[in-house]
Amino acid sequence: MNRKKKLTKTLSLVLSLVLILAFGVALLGKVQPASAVHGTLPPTGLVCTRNDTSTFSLTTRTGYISLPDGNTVFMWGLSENDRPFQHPSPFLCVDEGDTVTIVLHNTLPDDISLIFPGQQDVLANGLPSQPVFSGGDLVSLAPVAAANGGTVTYQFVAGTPGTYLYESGTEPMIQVNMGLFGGLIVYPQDYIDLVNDPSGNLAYAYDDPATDLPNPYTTYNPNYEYAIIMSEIDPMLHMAVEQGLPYDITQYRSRYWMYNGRSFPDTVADNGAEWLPDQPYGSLTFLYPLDPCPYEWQWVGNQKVCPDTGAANPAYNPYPALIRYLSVGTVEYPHHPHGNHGRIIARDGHVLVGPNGEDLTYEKFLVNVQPGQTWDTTFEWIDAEHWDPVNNPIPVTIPQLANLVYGTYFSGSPYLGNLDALPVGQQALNQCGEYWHIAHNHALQQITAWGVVLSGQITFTRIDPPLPNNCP
Amino acid sequence: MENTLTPSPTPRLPGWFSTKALLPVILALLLLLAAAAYGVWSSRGNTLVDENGFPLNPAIEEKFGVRFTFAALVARHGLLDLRYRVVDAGKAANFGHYTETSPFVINETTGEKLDVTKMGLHNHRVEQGRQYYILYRNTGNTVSPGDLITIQIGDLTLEHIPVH
Repeated sequence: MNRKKKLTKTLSLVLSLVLILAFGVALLGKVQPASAVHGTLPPTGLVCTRNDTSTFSLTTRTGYISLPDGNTVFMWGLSENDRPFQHPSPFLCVDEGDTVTIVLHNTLPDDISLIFPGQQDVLANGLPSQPVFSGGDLVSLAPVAAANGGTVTYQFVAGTPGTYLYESGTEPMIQVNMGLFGGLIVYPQDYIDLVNDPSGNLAYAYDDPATDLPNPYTTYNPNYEYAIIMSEIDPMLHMAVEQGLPYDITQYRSRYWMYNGRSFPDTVADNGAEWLPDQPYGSLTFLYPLDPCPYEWQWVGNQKVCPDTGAANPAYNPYPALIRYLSVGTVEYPHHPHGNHGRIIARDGHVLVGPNGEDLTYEKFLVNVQPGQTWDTTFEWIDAEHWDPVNNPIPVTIPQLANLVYGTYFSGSPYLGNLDALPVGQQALNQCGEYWHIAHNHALQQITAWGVVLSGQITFTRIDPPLPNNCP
Repeated sequence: MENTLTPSPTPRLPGWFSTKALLPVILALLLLLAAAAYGVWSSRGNTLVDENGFPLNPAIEEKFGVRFTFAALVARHGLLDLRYRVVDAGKAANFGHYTETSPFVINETTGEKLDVTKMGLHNHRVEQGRQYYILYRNTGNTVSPGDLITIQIGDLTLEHIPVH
């Protein structure tokens, strides 16, 4: 075969393949899922930024965040290394006793600084980090990184375990609202207890300060660890900063309220959702029921009994979730998780334990976090009364369907994991008999987005039936 | 010098330009034509798109005063978040409040439908230019990321909406 013929055949085949590929794409009719900007983040849960040296290079960035009412707001932020703008700034995770180094690079047109409430003996460029005065006036709570290129290095030894903030100490009313804040989480050394639970499902949020041993009242499952940083925005302030216009702080009025830099329903979108490229952190709490029985439950009459031995219980899940709340707002945010109280285990990085190791944790209806505070809570959903459609039915006569009103997320069955009949014309209401509980700010004016109701500080708790289940 | 007229060579295809060799190309072109025809056929109902490539249906905007802007699965794919922008506040005041003004969502691949939901705006106060949302229960993963859905409101439809 001569060369021209070979060339023609090759060209024909290539062209054919291209055309057939185009045909295939045209027929497929599917959207190609875009890869998440933030890589492979878990869909829910705390996203930690950590490294072996606990050294973080944080550079200021500017960008825009998306609000569910269609608005966008100009923001400032801190991003690690050369990463793009994000809001809020990353959750920095370190271990107790680590020497933490934070190099702040300022590209903004204003002096900025960082403070670390709760950390002792913070150094700035090797000297004690102290307030800065000019002519007798306080101008910053910490040494600054000068505008347009200044750098300052803060260093401290991570103190007692807990949840802390880092935030701007310079004109904080403006700079924190603009987005210069993030979470700092200090873990106890060896906080995952592999001795007592080789599965890695047992962790301690705190030590006992008196003994430095793991505090048994702060156990949690590290697979279900969440952090929610609460904030607010006055968009007029942000517009003024963006356009270099004067702003009268006495006219401050917040219009947006956020969990992890998002307003509902963006709050329940996955971590790293592709359509929120600069707001990587969701705040949906995802759980399985707490189940303390290592062996399969047995029914004795209508009582569910945990035996001393037997087959392993696949739903065994003895430790609660941990939810860390942080607030950089200007007023109290009375957060309320429906479905169960949160158990307050610490506030501002102080574990609630008595001088002799007494358990001072307590359940609370509202997690009413004040400005600048952090609260740590454990949270679980437990099948306390063991209702069961066969062995222990709920002793209520269900009214006729026509007399019932069905809630948005009701499965048709009150029993977790069951889907049941619904009125004609009403479809089954959820995926696999899971429960949904709203978790929101009880100051209802703060669950809005510049007047649009049912937005702002709302998220959800999703409780899936115990494993194995039929959930997709 | 004698002028000699040399007859022009008869135009002919080179030997390597054979019908047999081009057969795959011809077949592929036919397939492409079929694909184009399918595209035109399948996009009937809404051939318009907005500046982001999102489908538009002027009839829905004219009747209900809303323009759909976005659809995504949230809450570990348990909920479908459908956003719309109000383009006429007067017409949009009743949008979604009655069965006949509430949008259904249909998976274009399976034909399965997501029904009217209650999780959305609870009052009639809407403002022109603002964006609002409706949450649907994604029963049994009726919709998956990458699917195309149709929104149906009464006899009006908006087709080929991509789900994030």
